[in-house]
Amino acid sequence: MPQKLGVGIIGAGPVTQAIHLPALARLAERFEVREIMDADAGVAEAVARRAGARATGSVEALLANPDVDVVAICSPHRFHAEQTIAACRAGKKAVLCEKPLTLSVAEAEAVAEVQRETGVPVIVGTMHTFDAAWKWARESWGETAGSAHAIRSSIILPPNARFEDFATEVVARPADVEADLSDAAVRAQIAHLGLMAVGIHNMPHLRSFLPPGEPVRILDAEGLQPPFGYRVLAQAGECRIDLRCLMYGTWKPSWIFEAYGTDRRLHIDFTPSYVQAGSASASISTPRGTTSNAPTSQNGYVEEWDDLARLALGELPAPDLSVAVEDLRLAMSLADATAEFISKGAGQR
Amino acid sequence: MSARTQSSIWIDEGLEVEAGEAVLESLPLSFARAGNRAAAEVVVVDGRSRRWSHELGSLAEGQVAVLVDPWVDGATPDGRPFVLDTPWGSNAACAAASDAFGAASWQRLECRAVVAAGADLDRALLRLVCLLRSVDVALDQLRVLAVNAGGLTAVARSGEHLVDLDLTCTDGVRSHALLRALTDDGDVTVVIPEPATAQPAELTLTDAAGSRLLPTTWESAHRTTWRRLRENPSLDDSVAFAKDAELVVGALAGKESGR
Repeated sequence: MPQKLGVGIIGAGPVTQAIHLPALARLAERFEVREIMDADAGVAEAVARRAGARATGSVEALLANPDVDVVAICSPHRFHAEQTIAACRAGKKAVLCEKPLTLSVAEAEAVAEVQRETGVPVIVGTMHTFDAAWKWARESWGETAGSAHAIRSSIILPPNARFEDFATEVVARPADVEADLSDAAVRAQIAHLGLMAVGIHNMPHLRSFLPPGEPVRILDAEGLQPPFGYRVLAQAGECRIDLRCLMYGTWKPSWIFEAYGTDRRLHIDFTPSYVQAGSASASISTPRGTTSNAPTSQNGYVEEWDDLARLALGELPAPDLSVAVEDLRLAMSLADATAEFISKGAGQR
Repeated sequence: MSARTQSSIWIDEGLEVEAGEAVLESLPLSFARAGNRAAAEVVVVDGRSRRWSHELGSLAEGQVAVLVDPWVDGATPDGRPFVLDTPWGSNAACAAASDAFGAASWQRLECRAVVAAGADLDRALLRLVCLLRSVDVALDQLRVLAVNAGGLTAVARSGEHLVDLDLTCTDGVRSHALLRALTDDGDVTVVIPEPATAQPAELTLTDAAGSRLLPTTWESAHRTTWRRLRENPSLDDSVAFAKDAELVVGALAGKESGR
């Protein structure tokens, strides 16, 4: 049996507990979690114990551990750049950085530069791009760039806790923050946060269809009620964009991505985050009929870890991180423009 | 016109089969073909004709009109009463949808339609506004934000309610319209097919107790219009339509001046 890859995880919050540990449990033949770091010693200890791993409060110690081959960065967004760079410089076999890769394009470019220097494969945890349905859609659609004149991403979700609790028993969940929606600056912040935390999932899908080189112009935007949500109507060249997300008191999740061309439509129905509910369902409709993917039992999280194993073993070439940098550039420009639009009091409200 | 006896009807020339002859065939006890236009109690007028306003004006006192999918096109309704037959707004599910949207607490309504590539978006926008009216969401402001050959994006207000309107052109899927409002603990969603078929609309109510599909009605929107008229001969959509048409024409003029 081939030797297992040792995993080190930086940040032991709900994403690690409810997403990565359950995904790794399904890939136990390939991975073994060996060290978990968290700034909260109690959380690190509790999460590491259940994974049978060592706990630490030090990123440096985790990166220096020779038993750690692969590093997953699941810390707060502001630490992603420095920790990804440190993992590359530590000569790890592969790095998974949770989305967003960084909080600025300059930081992302710095990460890409270090990745090129060190040759360490880095992937960003936009799990829906690893989803078999998306891979099927890309292959079936053909050239995507500029091929759609309308794109829609609609993400309607119950609060995260509903799905975290189905995925695992979470230790130390962060509290919701009350927000004053009468303040335009607060609404702008909510929309920005929503786009960078949830909208970010569909940025690679969106970017792949947009006409290259066309700036995105905000037509109308709104930050929605806490914990967060957004509604962004935009346009890039001749392509109209409708992005909306709301996390609220429904039990019924709906995560849809659609792209419309003159004679075809792509429709993807993604499974919700956290739970291991298999791949998305995708279909492409044309006047001649509709074709769809055969949904698989593996969701994008398992697929991304599967890719990570193959990258660490040299079975796949290191991905070009400039793609992730461009995805981030789109996400940041959309989030910044949306926040500015709302702050200025433009639009319907 | 009596609701009990058979009504005589005249279908104006040029009207598509699904909006006229096929409906007559499906309601043979309620309606019978009149020998000539002047003798008909009900006249079905093609709103897609540039002369529909004139045709309406030529009706005799006491005659009732069904006006199919009209566009204003410079002409304004002349105040004569008519019953509107529009692609989505005349669907049988609109009555139940109206009740559902009226009973629910919501802030924003998504109103989206897919239309054929190359479709007339000005007309399609009016159809969407008529659909909203038919579920008792009468708009009092409408602003077109973007329009091109691929579709149209607009925003609107109905009192305190906000409405997003979207038209997308494609031949990839059949024409349909969708309304969705997120409520406190779920949503009200109705998907309305194109009017020529008896394919039913689907009205779904979701709340904390679950999700419920209301009973479907397998009736074309055209047939529903005739039946409504049969059941209530004093129906008149002319005033509401004039308001909606004025709103749409104004919004489109704003769009054009903003180019």
